[in-house]
Amino acid sequence: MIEKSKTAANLELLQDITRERNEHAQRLARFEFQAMKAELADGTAFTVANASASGAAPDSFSFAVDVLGLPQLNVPLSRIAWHAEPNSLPVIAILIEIRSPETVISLIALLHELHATPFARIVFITRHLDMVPFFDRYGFAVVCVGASHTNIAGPILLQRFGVRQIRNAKDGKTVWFDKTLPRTQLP
Amino acid sequence: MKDRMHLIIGRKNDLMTGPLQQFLSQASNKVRLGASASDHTADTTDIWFADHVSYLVYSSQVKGQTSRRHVLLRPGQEIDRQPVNLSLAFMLAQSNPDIITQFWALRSDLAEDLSTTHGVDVQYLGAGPNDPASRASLLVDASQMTIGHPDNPALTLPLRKANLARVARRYNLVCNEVQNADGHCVVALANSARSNQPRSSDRVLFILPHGAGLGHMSRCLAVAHQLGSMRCDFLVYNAAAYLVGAAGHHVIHRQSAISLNANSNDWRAWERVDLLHYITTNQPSAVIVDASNIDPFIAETLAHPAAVNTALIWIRREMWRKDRLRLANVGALHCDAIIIPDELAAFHENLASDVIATLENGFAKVHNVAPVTLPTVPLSRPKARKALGLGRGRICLISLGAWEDAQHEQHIATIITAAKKHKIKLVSVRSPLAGPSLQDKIFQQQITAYPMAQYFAAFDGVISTAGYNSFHELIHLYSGPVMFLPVDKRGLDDQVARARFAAQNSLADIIDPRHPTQSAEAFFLKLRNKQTIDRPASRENGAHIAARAIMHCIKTYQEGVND
Repeated sequence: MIEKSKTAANLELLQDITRERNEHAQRLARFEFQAMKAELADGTAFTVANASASGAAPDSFSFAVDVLGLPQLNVPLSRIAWHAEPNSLPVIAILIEIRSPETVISLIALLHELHATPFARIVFITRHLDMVPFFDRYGFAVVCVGASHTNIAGPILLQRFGVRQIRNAKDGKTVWFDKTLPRTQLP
Repeated sequence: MKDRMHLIIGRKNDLMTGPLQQFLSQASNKVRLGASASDHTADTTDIWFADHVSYLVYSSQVKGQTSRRHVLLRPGQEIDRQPVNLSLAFMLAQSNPDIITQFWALRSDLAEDLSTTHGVDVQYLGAGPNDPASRASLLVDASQMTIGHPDNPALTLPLRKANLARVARRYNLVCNEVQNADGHCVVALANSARSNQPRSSDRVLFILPHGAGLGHMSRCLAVAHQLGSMRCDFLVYNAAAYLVGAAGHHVIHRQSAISLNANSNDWRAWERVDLLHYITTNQPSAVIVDASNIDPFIAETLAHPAAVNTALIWIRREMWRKDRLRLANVGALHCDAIIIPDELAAFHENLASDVIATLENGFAKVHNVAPVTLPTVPLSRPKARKALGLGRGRICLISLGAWEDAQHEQHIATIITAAKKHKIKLVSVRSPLAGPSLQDKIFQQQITAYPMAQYFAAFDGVISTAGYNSFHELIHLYSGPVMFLPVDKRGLDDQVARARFAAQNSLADIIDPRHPTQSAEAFFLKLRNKQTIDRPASRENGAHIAARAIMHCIKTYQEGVND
């Protein structure tokens, strides 16, 4: 009887710790989201340390193609959102084609949605290397594809990360999707 | 054997696969190493089974009836030829007469014996001439899978996941087991395969790790700048990869397993595939890694027979914290050269010399070079201030890197109070990797710039952490007062030792944690008085010596010369 009580007490303690940890994680996500949103809003998100570095881009998308038999890599949910089971969320890619004010507005709306109701794990696709630090420091997966067409990048990101579709950050339109997946299954 | 596509199938960790691939590459570049019969593709013309076991296991599974089979008949680890006789008899009984199968022996006497006994054509896979006189020897123990130095028994390293053909580029290999006939054959083939290698391209690949600072990047950019006409590509795991692109280099940016929160084994599997893809596509002369260790995925990729023409060079900063030394002893075995940029503080108190002696260099050629810093054209004070948007008056730069060190917080308040008292403006520089932080609101102005050294003239004094680059740039390129706030609890290098060295030699101040107010007061008094510090000029920038060492390594590696 005494043993059982000890077990119950230990279980209760563990549950308390888990609940507190989750509460801390959610508070941290709020803090990170506010910081990320502020960077986008005040225009410092993509500030570079060297003016001549702005626009630097790789010549090509340097990944091996048609790789079979390797496990897909994890795509993190990021530090701006919290979810009890992040791995249950689908993986989508968001392409940032141009750095326009409209894109920034759309990005803020997207990130707000992700923070409030995590709906997917996102891989950000950029054309320029100077956009990488911003997404990287908030814990997102980010891939710089240079000028490569999404028809080339899409299948590679599908193999590596399980990306089923790529949407444009500016207007949300699907620019590539995994054709092996029925259209009805696209979220 | 021109215009043929060879596929080699061998057992895992079989030392023969590397030398065999190298041997076949001399006749045709189109050689792949397979793991199983499933690696057979439509363009495969020849399948090489590295031993009879591989043949017996996989030959029936290989599709493509037109591919010619080749089987190496190896004597085993005993002088007795009975096992290989039995194997050949069994294979002949099982063989399909419609498929051409060629048997090969690695010794001429064995080929003759087997041909006579079995009435089948067994060819001698001739090991070519060996030239042991021009190179030092290493002892190979094929049974124990180790390689060792004949004069230094302590220097014995595991051969698992290594490629003997790589090691044989620079060393004469000697099988130290009298009874191991197979070991002698493997070693003979490795030694003979070193000559007449196909040349690699005029291209090298730098690999930069994920990290909190930019030291690795700055060193490699400095060295790449000195490599002249050599094309320098960069595989960068640091988010500030754009700085490399801005310097005009081709950049492949990747995120680390830590950034992705990915399983490290899964992540390494993908990195191996991509790095091998890059190497087979571009045939770089060398892969140059500036990191605290050689990640296993790099070592394993370079050990692949398809990467045998690419030298592996490690740029390894010294002055490690003693509690982190175990991390440094990873990867030296795989390197052909190790370049060690000097530390100004390494001559101090025998502190660093203890550390350096502990690090392992494997069989690599070690090059010690002068401290490496990124070459910059310093701006005049007015131009530097204008470029950074700074006003008039006394200005002190505060550079704390990407880390927000809890240890520094207590000192920063003291520094701000002292600066106000002396009417000195504090301007912080934000790391290219860092986002907004609490520091933004604490200091009067924040700037973002890289490389920082070109703007030093704008400042009347500098407060900085003591990372390798910051330390050497400030000591060699700056004449104003400097106070170091070393990072003590994080990172791999011994920043406290560097800063202490500078303080004891009157090159800079170090904040005294017991009397921070007095430290800050004394430092800002120097700024008020426009004090300059007489510091030793750098005898030379080690970047061009490092570049020379790289070119030397590439030349000797390609020519198969041991110097």
